[in-house]
Amino acid sequence: MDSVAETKQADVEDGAAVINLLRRFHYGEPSAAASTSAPAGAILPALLNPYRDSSAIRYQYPLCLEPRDEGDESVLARPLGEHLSASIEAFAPSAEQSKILKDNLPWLERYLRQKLTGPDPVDAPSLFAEAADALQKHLDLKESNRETLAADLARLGAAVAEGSQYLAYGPDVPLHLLVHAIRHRLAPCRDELRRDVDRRAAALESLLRVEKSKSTAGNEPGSVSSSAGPAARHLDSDALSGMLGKRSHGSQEMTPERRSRIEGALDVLRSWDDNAVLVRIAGRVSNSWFAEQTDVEVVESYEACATASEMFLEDAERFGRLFAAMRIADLEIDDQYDPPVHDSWFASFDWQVFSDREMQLVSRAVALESADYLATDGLPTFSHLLGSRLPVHVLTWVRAYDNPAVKPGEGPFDAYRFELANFGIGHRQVVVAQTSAARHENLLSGFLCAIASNRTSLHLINRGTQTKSSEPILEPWFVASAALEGRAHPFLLIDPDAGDHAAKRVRFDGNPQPDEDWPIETLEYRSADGDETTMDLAFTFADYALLMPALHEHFRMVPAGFESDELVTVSDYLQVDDERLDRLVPFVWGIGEDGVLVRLVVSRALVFACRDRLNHWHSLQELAGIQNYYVEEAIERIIEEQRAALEAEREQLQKEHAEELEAVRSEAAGQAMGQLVDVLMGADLSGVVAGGGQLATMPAARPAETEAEPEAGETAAEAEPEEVEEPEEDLSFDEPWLDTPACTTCDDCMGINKMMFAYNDDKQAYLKDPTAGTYEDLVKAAEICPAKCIHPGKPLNKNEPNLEELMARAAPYN
Amino acid sequence: MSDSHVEGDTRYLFKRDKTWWVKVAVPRTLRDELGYDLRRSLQTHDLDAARKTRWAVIEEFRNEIEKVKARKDGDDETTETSGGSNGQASTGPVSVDQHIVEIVSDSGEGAQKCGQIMGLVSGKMGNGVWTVEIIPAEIQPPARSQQGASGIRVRMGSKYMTNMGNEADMVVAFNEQVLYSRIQNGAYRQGTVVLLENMWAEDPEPTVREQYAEAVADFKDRGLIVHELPIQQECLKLVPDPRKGKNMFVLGMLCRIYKRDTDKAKEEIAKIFRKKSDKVIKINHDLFDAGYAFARDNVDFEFEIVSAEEDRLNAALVMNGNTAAGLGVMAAGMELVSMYPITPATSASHYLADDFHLTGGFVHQAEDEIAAIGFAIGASYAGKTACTITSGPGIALKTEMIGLAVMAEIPLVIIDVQRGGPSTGLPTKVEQGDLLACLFGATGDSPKVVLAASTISECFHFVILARKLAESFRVPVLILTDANLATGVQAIERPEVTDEWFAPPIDQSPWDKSVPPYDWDEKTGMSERPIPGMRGGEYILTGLAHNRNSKIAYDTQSNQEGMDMRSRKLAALAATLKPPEVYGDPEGDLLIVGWGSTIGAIEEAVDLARSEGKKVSSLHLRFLSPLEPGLKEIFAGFRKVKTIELNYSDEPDAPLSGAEYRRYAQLAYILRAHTLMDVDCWSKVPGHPLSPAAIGRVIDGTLAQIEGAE
Amino acid sequence: MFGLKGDWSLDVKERYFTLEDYCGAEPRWCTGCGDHGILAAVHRVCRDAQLKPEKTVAVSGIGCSSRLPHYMKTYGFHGLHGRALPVACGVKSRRPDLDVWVATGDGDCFSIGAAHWIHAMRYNMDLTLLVFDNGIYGLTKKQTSPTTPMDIPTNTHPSGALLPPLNPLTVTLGITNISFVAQIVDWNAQLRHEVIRKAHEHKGTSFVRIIQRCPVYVESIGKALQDEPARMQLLTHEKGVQVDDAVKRQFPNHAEHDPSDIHAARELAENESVLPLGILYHNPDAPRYDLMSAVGLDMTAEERLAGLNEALDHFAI
Repeated sequence: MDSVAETKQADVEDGAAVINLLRRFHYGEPSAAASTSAPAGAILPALLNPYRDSSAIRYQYPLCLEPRDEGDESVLARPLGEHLSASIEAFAPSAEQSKILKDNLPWLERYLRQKLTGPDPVDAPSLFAEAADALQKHLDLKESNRETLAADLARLGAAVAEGSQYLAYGPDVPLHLLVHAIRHRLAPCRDELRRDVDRRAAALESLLRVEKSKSTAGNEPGSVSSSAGPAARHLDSDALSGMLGKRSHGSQEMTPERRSRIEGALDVLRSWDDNAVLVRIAGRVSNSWFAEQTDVEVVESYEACATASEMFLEDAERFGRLFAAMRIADLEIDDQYDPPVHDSWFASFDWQVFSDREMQLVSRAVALESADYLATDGLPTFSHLLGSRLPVHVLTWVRAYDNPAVKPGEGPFDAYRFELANFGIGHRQVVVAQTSAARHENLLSGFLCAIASNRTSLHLINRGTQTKSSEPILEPWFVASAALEGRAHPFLLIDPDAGDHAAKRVRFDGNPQPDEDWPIETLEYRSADGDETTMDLAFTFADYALLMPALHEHFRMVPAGFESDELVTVSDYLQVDDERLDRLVPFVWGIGEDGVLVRLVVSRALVFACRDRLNHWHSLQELAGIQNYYVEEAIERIIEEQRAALEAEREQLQKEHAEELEAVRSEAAGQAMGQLVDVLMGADLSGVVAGGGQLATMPAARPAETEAEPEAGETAAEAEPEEVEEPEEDLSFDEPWLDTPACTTCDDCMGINKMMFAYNDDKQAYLKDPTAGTYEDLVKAAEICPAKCIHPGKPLNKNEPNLEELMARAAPYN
Repeated sequence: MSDSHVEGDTRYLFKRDKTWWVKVAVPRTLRDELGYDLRRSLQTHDLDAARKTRWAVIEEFRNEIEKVKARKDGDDETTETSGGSNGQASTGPVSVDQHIVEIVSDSGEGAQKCGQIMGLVSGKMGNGVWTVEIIPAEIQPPARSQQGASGIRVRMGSKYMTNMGNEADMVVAFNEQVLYSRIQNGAYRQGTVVLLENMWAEDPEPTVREQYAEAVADFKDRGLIVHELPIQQECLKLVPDPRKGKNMFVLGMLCRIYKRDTDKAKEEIAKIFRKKSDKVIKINHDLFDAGYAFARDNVDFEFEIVSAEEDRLNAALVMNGNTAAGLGVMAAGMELVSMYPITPATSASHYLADDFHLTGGFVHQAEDEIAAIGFAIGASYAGKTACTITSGPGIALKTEMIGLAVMAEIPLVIIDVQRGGPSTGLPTKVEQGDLLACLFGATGDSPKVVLAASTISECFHFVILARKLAESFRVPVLILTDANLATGVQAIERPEVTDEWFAPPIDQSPWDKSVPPYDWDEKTGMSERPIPGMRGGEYILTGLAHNRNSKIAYDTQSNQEGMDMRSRKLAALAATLKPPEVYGDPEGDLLIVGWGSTIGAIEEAVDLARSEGKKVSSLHLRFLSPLEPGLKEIFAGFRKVKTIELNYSDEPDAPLSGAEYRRYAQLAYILRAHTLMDVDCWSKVPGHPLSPAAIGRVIDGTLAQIEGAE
Repeated sequence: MFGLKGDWSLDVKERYFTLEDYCGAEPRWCTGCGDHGILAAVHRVCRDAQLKPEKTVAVSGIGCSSRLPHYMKTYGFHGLHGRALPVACGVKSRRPDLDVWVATGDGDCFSIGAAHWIHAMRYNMDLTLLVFDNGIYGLTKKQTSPTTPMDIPTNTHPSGALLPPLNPLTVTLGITNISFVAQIVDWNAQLRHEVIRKAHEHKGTSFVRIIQRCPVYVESIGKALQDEPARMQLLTHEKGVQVDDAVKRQFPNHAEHDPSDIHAARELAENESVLPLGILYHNPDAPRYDLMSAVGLDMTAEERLAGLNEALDHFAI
């Protein structure tokens, strides 16, 4: 809640001077810049003022990183506060339960926050235990209450899983979360791999055992007696061995090639050493925590993209040997290895032919590179990597206000910004994730998507750290969040696996008010005369820029109390597109440490930057199908067409209606005329009556009747088939035939005439050649056939003896 | 010794030439003074006369023995030297090289558990151990009935034990009646110490009180040393119903008397009740401690059986023969045991049900004996040579399937844990009566391999051998064990297991179509079999007469060839067997031939006889089909060859019998046919194992005959 | 490129099978015997499912029906009278990869093999069980079988069977854990083929009673049914078998029956005045013993050896 400064009554003629001065600054005239005051002290965009003291604010960090459990992988990390309250709800759903603990949860949380200052994950259970003790001391309750609290704390502590960690907000959050995500996804696969490898090795070994047991070696005296145990002392093993050796060998021995192939594969499987490394990071990692992890390997590199690629290829080669051995094992285990086919194939076996699952098992290569380098000298290597299909994760920190491609000595707005995201999208098959450390869900979903995809991935991450400023006014988390609000660094996730069209590939969620140009927030303040009012403010890129001390020269304070209709907010300014524009001076609202609302005029360069970001934002919206110009136009067109079509139809109907009326009128006229003529001809009046009869046959009336008849006819025709449902019994055959599907393969007809009857591929009989036998054969077969599927028809050879009798016998089967 | 005067028996009698002699064995402790036994001619050729006159002589001998014994005991009190197993006051433990303890009770009182733990603990302390269960035929015989004796014999020794030994040195009896069935079995001798539950003396039932009093008096007459103990009373201090739990009290007593390792004992107790609550374990531990304390305070004798290091088995295992067989199945790499419950075989499957999964195996309990072997045959046909475990009646039912396996040459392992027959016979008791049934049971000519395990470790190793032979010769292999091996707990050396014993993984290589499914090798009849899954090997197995292509063929030539080839495989196997080793000198007066579980008793008896200078050796056969080679040569080295078996044969002098009509013991039958030599036999069907002493008497009797024959 | 090769490389040696690949020796059944048709149906189902002959096993007992394996070009087991099922179960127990068929008859299955019939149904291992029910002992020449109708004279009961025939459907439907029960007649090719196909597709023991004509000894049984189609009732349902109108015309008597309804199935079986044709009962979810008996198949020699040592440890001193 802010109060507006006392506005001193300023002179009217000063007014013109002030606005001119400000306008001149806006147009970038140095003298004007000198004679106006840049924002002094800790001034903040008006909307962000409430967040000055972040210690009082419960934001998403610190996080509670859940340890890996085979079961649900959905939640990798949850905000500390959420985790605590959710855990309590789990065992104390109703308000009365665990009241003491619930009431003091904020204290507990604050204690943890204050403890969590370092950049690295901290073992959660131990820290929680410490906090629990502290709370007990702090409250110093009476015996019974102390015990209930202790019990509740114990239960809450139980919810803090073994191995879970707390992670505070800091510059390395993204890298920590990446490692965390990779552990979650890869570690289980690696355990499974270990089992698969051992299982295959065991299977290959037993193949070799079998081979030994039947080989001459298996029958030689030594192994004969040793396989019979100590009781073999009653036997002469040489004799036995001799006899075993004499047997013929049905069970075929392996070819030497196969044996050596199996031994080779077995060798690879048995010597497989899963050096626990899951992540290999190339780049400059100042934080030693990563190098200390057993499953993380850090390689310092000034060409991170190149190094990471090499690291992947190196690991892929190691795994490639294993995967080939495993596949050979699979083939050998069910004796499917076919040298002509497989030899050449395995000769050319490399990471390009890894299955998705295999690819998942290779250690993750991460290139950690600065955005500036990627956008300038590193560009060729970078671009080559993005096109290479190598599953390397490129991580880079993006300064949202800045232009990565800026030349030394240039300001951020001297050139239009190099959009790394678009550069990535330009390579089409790359996972592009523009995310922010301030939103761990988006950060993680970007990482998980990349890990799952086996594609090259580009992660553009904003951390909100203000490198250029000595002591930040806002916590970095808020700065990063502001970058999202100000469209300086919108969320964007491109997942090429999701489909062939942008509509499927692009994920846009997480952006504030995605349908708006700028998010609109309500500012509450107290007006001069002290009553509370509000105004809706857009949070623009300029507002975000105000957070950057480095950019303060792009702002100038508007004297307190100065009013002019030529002063407009940046958001309004950007919507004006006529000649008035030149006269207007854009500003943003700010609030100083004193809590006084101020207006800050912004430079033209900054306004151009705003427009540039807005254009970028619009293009992203269109990618994501929001406020798409084409779509809206198409909708318009279709509505228009529909309207036209309806119109046309209406006219058509009216026209037909009119014609009908016309026809009827003319008929009526015709009748009247006819009668009149007869009367005038003076025919006897009886004729009139008869004539009336004749009239009935006026052609004009005929159509009505002629239409009626066929109608009746049709309905009759429709009705007919319902009644007529004749069973096939009526049908009878002249041609002999055999209802093959009904044949039960009883062999009877075969017994009668093998030339006439034969079996098809399903071993069901068919009439192979009716002429290959007598009509009598057919009749006999029909009679004996259990399935009654032989129908003799009429005799083909009329001269066959006693046909009458045969046909009589055949009748029931026709 | 048992002394119920049954007429018609020949106990204490033996024949030399035509004359009847009487003989009484001398207790071990007095043999220095009196020799192995006391004998005298009755100077009659008539058995009945001998039977009548023998008792006077026996009494005379007994008194003589008593005299010497009394004198000797006197010496013992002053000079504490060995042997004092008479339970007279003695300070500190007496060291003995072996002792036999029995625990007998009504069934359901847990005497066997008690003894098993005793055996395990002794084994784990490095002693040689052999246990024999004393099982009543019925599951719930009436209490205090003489036939209802349920219990166990535990033989503990400083050296390796191979059999149940002779008379017991000590017996714990939960009531006096159950002792009688043991007495009738000759389980005790003069001086056997009886620790007797005395609750019956105050039984509300007057007849019980009388029975008890009479029995105690009778026991004393028989030379048993009876200690009446208030076991029940002591247990009542801890538990309301000592019927359950008394056994643990007794275990405690025995552990004190024999200085057993109490921690090991308690471990075993805990193991037994592991499925029950800790409370149950606690109670039983308390009972154990109470028994221990009671013995300490009230029993004034202790024994110590120490095994010298060199006598201890390295890395020994303690188990019974059924468990060993079950482990053998696992060690052979077989994956399937298909069975139907039958005593005394079932416990092997019980064991496998517990542990088979460790080697990836599965126990199938089929709907009947036939289905059990059918299931196994199915698996074997499909390449997974399987095993079926049963006992006599089961074998009878499986016969047709065994014939099929022979005819179609399906490898298969069949374990027959022999019990008393015929029919359902003696379900819980030992006999060697299935030999001929296994050899010739199936119809037509059905040559198969039959092995007999003679020790508990052979129960393990023979299964491995059997699997290998079954697959090599494409033939079913029977392994004979018996109730004695099945339940006898013994410490055995731990085998050095190797995966070479395992069946190789099934062969799924392509099959050379030019090789028929029965491509019999003319010399050996052996052939390789196609296994389903082998491409090109498709054939239809049939139990009908068939040719090399497994096509049904009823013609003379095919049938003859098939028969020849199946039989030739046995000849081939025989040709690979080594001649058996003679135990003792290769020449002598008498060769005892045995098979199966009697080996321990026979060899102990032979040792004793030889130590007395007698020219006796023994031969133990493992292969019964085909027989091991060289028997004729071996037999030729002896004046007489006699089998000793636990199955039925006519007494040579049985009424209406005599040389022409005599029905011989089963191995003797085969050996006579095989060697055409006059192989004699001595066999009995007592339902319990043979004791060395009993065999010793046979040896002596036979030697006497041989001498007399000169 | 693009990981395509990866996929086709595994299929290059796919084999294709025609009926001939399943046809073994020339059948020796009498002409007119229903077995010819059943055999043809089995061949066709094998062909349509493209079963690998070397992975297919036909198990049988003794009797006319049990000749079937000899007429297959797969693996086969022609064993003992009444004992086909235990053998078949044994084959499946440790070889889940084999496709097992069982051919048996009214004598083999319902009489001497009755115990195995009951228990094999309960085990519900994945077998296709075809019972060739001709109501007579054929191979041994016309003795009364459990399903011989009373009025028919046989060599063991010249004046007809003394007792009413066994009803295999009520028995089978009374067994716990059954999963597939169907009945067909041998003389309708389509129904026969469809039911046997479904039976084979079903995972579990599929019991198909096939009423089969023996023209030599009891022609009257088949004739009577063929002359009076009304004595048979075609079961129709979306969950049952789908047949075309020709079949529906041959069996004019229809009934809508949901095969998942065991009680309805039992009622149909109880009513001996009409023979239900089609699938009486189908439960794809019944527990399967073959899945239990195959435990540990995947263990390696090393694991087994370790297991063996562990087992021995249980007895170590």
